[in-house]
Amino acid sequence: MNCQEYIENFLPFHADDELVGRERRAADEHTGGCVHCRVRLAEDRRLKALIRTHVPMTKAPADARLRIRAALGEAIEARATDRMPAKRQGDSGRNLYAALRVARRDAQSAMQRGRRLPLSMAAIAAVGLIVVLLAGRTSSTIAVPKTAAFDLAVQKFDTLAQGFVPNAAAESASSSDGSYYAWVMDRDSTERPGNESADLARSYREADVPEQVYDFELAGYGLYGGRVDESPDGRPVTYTVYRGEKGQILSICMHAPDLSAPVGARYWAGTHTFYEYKDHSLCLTFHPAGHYVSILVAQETVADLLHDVTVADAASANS
Amino acid sequence: MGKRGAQPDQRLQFEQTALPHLDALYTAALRLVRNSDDAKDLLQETILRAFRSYHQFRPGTNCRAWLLTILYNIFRTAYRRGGREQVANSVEEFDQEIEQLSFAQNNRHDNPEEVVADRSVGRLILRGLATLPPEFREALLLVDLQELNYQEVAEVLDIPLGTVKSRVSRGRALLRAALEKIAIAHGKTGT
Repeated sequence: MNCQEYIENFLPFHADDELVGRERRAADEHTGGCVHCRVRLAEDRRLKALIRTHVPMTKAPADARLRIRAALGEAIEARATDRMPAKRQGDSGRNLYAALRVARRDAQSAMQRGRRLPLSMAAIAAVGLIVVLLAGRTSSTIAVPKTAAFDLAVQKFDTLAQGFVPNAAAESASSSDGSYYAWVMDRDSTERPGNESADLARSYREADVPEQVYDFELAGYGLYGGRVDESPDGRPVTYTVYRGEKGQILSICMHAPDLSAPVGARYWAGTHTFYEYKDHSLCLTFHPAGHYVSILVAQETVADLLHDVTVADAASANS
Repeated sequence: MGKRGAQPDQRLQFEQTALPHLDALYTAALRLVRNSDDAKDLLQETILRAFRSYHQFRPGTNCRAWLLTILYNIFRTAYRRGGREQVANSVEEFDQEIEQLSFAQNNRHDNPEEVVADRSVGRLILRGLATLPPEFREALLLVDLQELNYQEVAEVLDIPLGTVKSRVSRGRALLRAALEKIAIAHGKTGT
C-alpha cells in the first residue's frame, strides 16, 4: 500500500475505526512504517475528538418534551381504542405543521409590510383560511379528561369575562402601598394608548406573574384590560381580556405546579397546546420558570384560536 | 409489538429506548430547519412516527441512528415538499449558534480560564464547520458528533456508503484547512 492509496481509500475508515480484519492490519502496517500517514491519521482523530468535545448537543426544550409525552399518551389511547388510524394521523399532522409554518411566515411578512403600508388583512385572512382548512383534517376523537384548571378557566370565562372589571395597574397609576389600582382606559377614545400592553406586562411583572400579554391585533382582537387577583394558595393570578368583533378571549395565568398537559389535545404549535373543552376552545401554555401556566379561553373554534395565537406569536416576535 | 392495542408498558419501553436521544434529535432538527418552532415540530413528528413503527426497530442496533433516519426522512418529504429547502448555514448564523452553544459549554467548567479556553476552541471549530459545504458538514457531524458509523450515516442520508466515506474524508480535509486559515488569521498558529 502506498501513501496515496492509504489516504484515498483507508484514512477516513481508519480514523473512525471502521476497518476490521485484513484491511485493518494493512492500514496499521502502513501507518506503522510511514510517519506522514501516521501524522495524518492522528490529525483526523484529533479533529474528530475536537468536534465531539466542542460542538455540544442542544438540549431539547422542556415544552417540547412535555408535548411529546402528551402526544405519546394520546397515541397509546388512540391505538387502544382503535379510533385514530396511525397513517391518517401522521399525514394530517404533517399538513398541520406545514400550515403552521406558512402561518408564521406569512404573519411575519404581513407584520413587516404593516410597518410601511396599512395592514394587509387579506394576507392575514388567507393565513387563517389555510390553517383552518388544513387543521380541520386532524380530528382527535379522544375526550379531554376532567381537568380542574380547565374547569376553572371555562368558569372564569363564562362569569368574569362577561362583566370584566380591569384592576391591574399600569405603572403610572400604581401606588407605593402595593395595592392594585384600576387600570382605566378610555374605551371611547379613537386614540389607543401607545404602550398599554407594555404597561400591563409591567404590572404583571411587579406582581411576580409571567408577563404574558398577547398581541392579537392582527387576529382582530384588542387588549381590553387586565386583573390581578389572589388565588386560594395566596399566589397572584392574572386575567387578561381581549375583545373584538369575533367575541372575546380570556387569558388566565396562574401557578399550577401539578398540572401536566392532558391527553386529547387537538393541536400543538410552538409552546402551546390546544383543546376543545366544554364547548370552549382552550390554549395551554407552560411558562419556563416558576410552574406558571397560561390558559386562553375563547368561544371561537379551536382551529381559529390556533390561528390567532400563531399570528399573535408572530406579531410579538416582530415587535 | 406492532399489534393494535398497545399497552402502557410498551410506551415505557419505547420511552426508555428513544427519549434519551431527544437532545441529539433536536440538535439535528435545529440544523435542518433553522428555527426552534419548526425543530420542535420535526422532533415531535419523529418521535410519534418512531413510536408507531417501533416494532420495526431491531433491539441491539443503534436507536439514535434509527431515529435520525426517521427524522431525515420526514424532513426530506414533508419539509422540503413544503418549499423549505435546507438552508446552508451562513457564517453569521453560525456566529449566533456559537454564542448559544458556547454559553451551554460554559456549564462544564467552574474555572473562568477553562471556560474561556473551551469557548475559544469551540468558536474555532464551529467557525471552521461553517465554511464547509453543507453536505460535507452534515456527514462529518453525523459521524463525529452523533457518533454514527458509515453504514448508519448512509441510511440516514439515503446515500451510498462510498459517498459517506468521500464526504467525511473531504470534509475533514476542508475543515483542517479552514482551521489553519482561521488560526493564522487570529495569530494562533499553535491551536
